Amino acid sequence: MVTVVVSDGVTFTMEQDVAFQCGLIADFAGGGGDQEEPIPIQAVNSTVMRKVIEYCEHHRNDPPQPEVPEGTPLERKDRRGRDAWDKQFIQVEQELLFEIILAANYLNIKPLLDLGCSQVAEMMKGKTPAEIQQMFNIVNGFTADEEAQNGEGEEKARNLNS
Amino acid sequence: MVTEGHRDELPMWPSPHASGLRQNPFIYDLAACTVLPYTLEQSSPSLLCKMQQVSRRLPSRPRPLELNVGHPERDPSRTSLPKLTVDPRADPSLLTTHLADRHNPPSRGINLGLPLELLIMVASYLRNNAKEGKSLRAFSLVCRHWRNVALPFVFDALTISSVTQELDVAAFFVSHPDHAKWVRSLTYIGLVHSPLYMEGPDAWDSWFGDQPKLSGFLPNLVALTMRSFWGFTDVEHAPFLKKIGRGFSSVKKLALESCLGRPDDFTALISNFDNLESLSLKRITAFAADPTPIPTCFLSRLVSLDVKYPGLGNHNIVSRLESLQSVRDLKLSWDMILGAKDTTASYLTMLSQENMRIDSLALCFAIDALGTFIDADILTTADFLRAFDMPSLRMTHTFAFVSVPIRAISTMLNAIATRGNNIRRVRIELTSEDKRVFCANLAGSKEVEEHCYFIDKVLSRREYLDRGIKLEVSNCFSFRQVCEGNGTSPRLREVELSRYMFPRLAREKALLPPRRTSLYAE
Repeated sequence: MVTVVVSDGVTFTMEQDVAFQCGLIADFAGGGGDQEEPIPIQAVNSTVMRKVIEYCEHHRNDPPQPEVPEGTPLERKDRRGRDAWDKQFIQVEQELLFEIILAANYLNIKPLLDLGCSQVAEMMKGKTPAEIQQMFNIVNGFTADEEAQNGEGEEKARNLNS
Repeated sequence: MVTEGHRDELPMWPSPHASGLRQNPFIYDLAACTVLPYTLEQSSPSLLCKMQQVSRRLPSRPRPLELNVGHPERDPSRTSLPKLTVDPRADPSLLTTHLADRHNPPSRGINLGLPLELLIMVASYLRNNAKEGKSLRAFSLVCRHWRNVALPFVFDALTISSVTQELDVAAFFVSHPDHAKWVRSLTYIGLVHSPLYMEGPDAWDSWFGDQPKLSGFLPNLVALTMRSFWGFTDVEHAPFLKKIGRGFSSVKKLALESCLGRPDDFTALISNFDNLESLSLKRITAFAADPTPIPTCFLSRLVSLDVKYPGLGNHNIVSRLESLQSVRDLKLSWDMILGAKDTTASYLTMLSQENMRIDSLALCFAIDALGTFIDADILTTADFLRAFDMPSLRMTHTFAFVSVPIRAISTMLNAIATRGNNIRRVRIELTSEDKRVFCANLAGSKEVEEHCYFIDKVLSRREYLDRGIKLEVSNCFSFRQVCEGNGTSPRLREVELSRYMFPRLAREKALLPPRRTSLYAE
């Protein structure tokens, strides 16, 4: 069994095969045996940790996935990595989604990180720049010259990325 | 089981004794299959450093991330896509957005919430292709910071489909050289049939004139593909082929696909690429009665040669490639329709005469539906295999257990196993047709029995196991037999089982020794 304590003082005790899906915890535990002392996870709160553990428990029996070549298109990654449960799991509010991504990055859980980033990308699909700015509350900082230059580049890219 | 509790105080980091002195079951001597003692004394500096580094890691702190998005300036000599280490502390331009946007109202959400490396990951999911190009371009126009992240992806791979378009894009890159440096892959598609070309020959005149062309403005281009050039009988096309390669001195991967023309034109094109390391010829059709002598290509750095559908065009081109001694990775695929079986023997003989030292060979036998792949072909292949001393052999789409007698495949494998060669890695991959047949005959038909028998025989061969061959078996029916067979030899280093058809993975996995076997299922 492995015990972790998160930023708001909540402790979680989980079985080793669940815990070791987190590369960070596996590093601490040294690769085997029960972890006697609780491992502090200061960058994750209990709400996010519950989601992370839920994901790890669901995928505890998954076989190790082969490496996906860099640049694999989103659709292909989707076919490989996202099942119906994953899609349902990652349907959370935007703020929680980002916290899950940050936690997956911190805890070194590659599949969950991929899932979160692909979900963010999924949210952007088919959106215009203005819609994305509105969705994520981002202010466009381009000057007028930059806007014109970007427009020209975008026009070229649209013709060339066929 | 997960339990929750509360603690008032955060504990100290685990002591080195708690984690470092413990015997680590993941460290194995693969040859002897014994556990090595893992002590703190052996690894204490790295372990302690790692613990200290991990303990200091903060989620919002931007950390360098290696991504395959490319930064050609840093390593232009690499053939494969170079890795980019993005560190905002080292690359101030990536931080200009934050500085420039200080006067803007603070934005909430992803822009502030995700560190740079994760933003790059999101952009990589939107990498430009037919479906995601629009989203990626929208991503790049959200704000200055995101644009810096997205630009390498936006201009990473370009496709040109007309002469006019090439001239137009070249003019764009003249005025935006900072965009051109991101282009690493360029594809020309059927220029001769493009609508713009049909408007008249003016575009060709411009192209052959002094106007800037892409070849002069893509300093970091690595891969060039020419696809669907079916009209190289016209008078313009031969000079076009001879000229288009000039200036792409950085190209290391060249692919010619679905082209029709004279072999000498293609060899002239290939000759332009002095630094070529990878050449792919797919479905090149040539004129059989063309008396034009084919010039010789000297490709002294060629490492990878992939020939698919080796019709007369491919054969003629390959026959004029000199210095094939440098080729280490050879992939040959046969076509089932063009009757390439007739040229197979001469093709293999020709390659055998080269003084090649193959590290990896992939054979894809696309055997026709009548199952005419007979023992003679197998034996020809076996002779071919014996001519090389290769550590890796991959056979795919063999139809081995459907239309070819098992004894024929066995003959070849036995020849491989018993003769003096250096094969260390064998991959047998069945086709979806194989899978369908097997699944349709799970009741114990002859095919399944033969398959089980074959797998059992292969795995029990001491010639494989004793030499520590890496054996890969795909679509294996008798997984238990594979597991038990592997256990018989302590020298078998690696086993890779893929596309496992039946849902028994978790149960059977326990039979395999840890860290010696990689398993995955589709």
